[in-house]
Amino acid sequence: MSLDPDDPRTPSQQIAAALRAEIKTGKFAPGEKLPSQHDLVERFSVARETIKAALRKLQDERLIVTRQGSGTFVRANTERPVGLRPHVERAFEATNVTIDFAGFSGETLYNAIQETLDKVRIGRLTPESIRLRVLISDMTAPMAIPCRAEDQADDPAIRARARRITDRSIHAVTDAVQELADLGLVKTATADVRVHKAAPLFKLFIINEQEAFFGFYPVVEHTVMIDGKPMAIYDAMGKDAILFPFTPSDEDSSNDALYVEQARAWFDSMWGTIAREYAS
Amino acid sequence: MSRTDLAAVVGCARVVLLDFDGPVCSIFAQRPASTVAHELRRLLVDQGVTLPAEILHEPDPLAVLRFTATLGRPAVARQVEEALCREEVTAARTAEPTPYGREVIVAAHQTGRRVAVVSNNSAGSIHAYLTGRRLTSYVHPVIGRAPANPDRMKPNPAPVLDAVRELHADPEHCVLVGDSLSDIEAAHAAGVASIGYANKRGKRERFAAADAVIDSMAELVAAFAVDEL
Repeated sequence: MSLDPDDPRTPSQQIAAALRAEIKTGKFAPGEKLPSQHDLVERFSVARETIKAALRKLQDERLIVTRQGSGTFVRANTERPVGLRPHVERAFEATNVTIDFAGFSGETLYNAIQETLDKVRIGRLTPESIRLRVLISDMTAPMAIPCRAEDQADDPAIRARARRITDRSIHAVTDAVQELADLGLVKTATADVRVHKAAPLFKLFIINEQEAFFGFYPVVEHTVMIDGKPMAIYDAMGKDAILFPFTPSDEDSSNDALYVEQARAWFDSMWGTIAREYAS
Repeated sequence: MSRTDLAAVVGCARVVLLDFDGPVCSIFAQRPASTVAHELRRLLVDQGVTLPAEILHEPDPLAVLRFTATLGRPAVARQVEEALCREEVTAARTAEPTPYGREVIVAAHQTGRRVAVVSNNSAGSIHAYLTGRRLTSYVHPVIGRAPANPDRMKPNPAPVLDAVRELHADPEHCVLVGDSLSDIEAAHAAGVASIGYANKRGKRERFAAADAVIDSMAELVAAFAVDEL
């Protein structure tokens, strides 16, 4: 493609417009690598500086990202969390499945794992063993979060509410795993729950000891009913939290592998030291 | 006044206008209003003002302020206004939160309603309270007393209309919550629905003109019908 000499726009503007159109019409998909600067120089018959100027424009528009040494890529326009559920499902294709979860209530865990466990129940997925470890905050102990918003004080009644919510999803998950073992659908299936006295600040999933997902719990104020009366509380809110994926691959030079290794070390350290059996 | 009245009034309200002293907090809980009124009187006496009998024992500092405006001495009026502002900011530090006042503000926000404060107290003292209680992000705008212009205070609808205008809201979609008759009158004159907060015995009867009356701010939270409660 050559540039139009009658076009009042500068060559770099024309090139940026052409590439922008190709990105927006999906000719280059999110995550896809753009042709090299060398190739673009040939394609448009312009100087390398002109190509660089065009790419800078697209970078400013957040349409592309340049990774040192590996090239220019179309930005994944919805930089949303990679859904956890498909990863969990893929993990269950392994012979031995392990899932470690650390967080607040386990609601995300339940949502992510429920469908996959159903697929084991109907024989669509056939792992030999499942080991689930759940590490959550001990809502019988004083906590920094959740707390009363007015005076930022710990309140046993608020914790009792959090515990009720936690119990619900934790029981649902552990019962579902236990059922698979009882039915003899998997050789061994265990679901262990332990608690610690640190306040919930983040959630972490470690899948088959190979992948990790991490999300922050922002502290959010909302009004809830406590013993029949409204109360404004500061709460750890996880349901809208973006989960950052750490999924190392063999040729991966990023920090993902190191992240997963450190996440596992952290989880094991908590599990083996200050965490105690969950009494439900 | 029944529960259905309250539900109807709150149901169509997208904007909740709160009077400050009463629905949000009790500003003079620790530093009594009568003491503040006395301080203002001393200031007037120092300026050679002769106080009429009804002002001599007036416990409400805002009433003393209103009187000051009738003297035709702008310098004195300004001095009293500034003194009262200082007193209010000091009082805001020790103000007592109204039971469920915070819950009303947070629940209104949760249900997509906007919250503003329309008060005869100074904007400075309201900001001081909201900042101290980590509530500023929920409340906009804060319409306080127009300086040195006591005639513009509620029951004048002007401050209510200021808030409505600032929010580009339709008065029909606003409701004002107040604990005095002047709040109800100001709301009525502004074409805004009103809820009387009967926080003291005997107030309920005075709110005949209000669209609904509540005894506790908790009733308002319930009327917002927050799903996740």
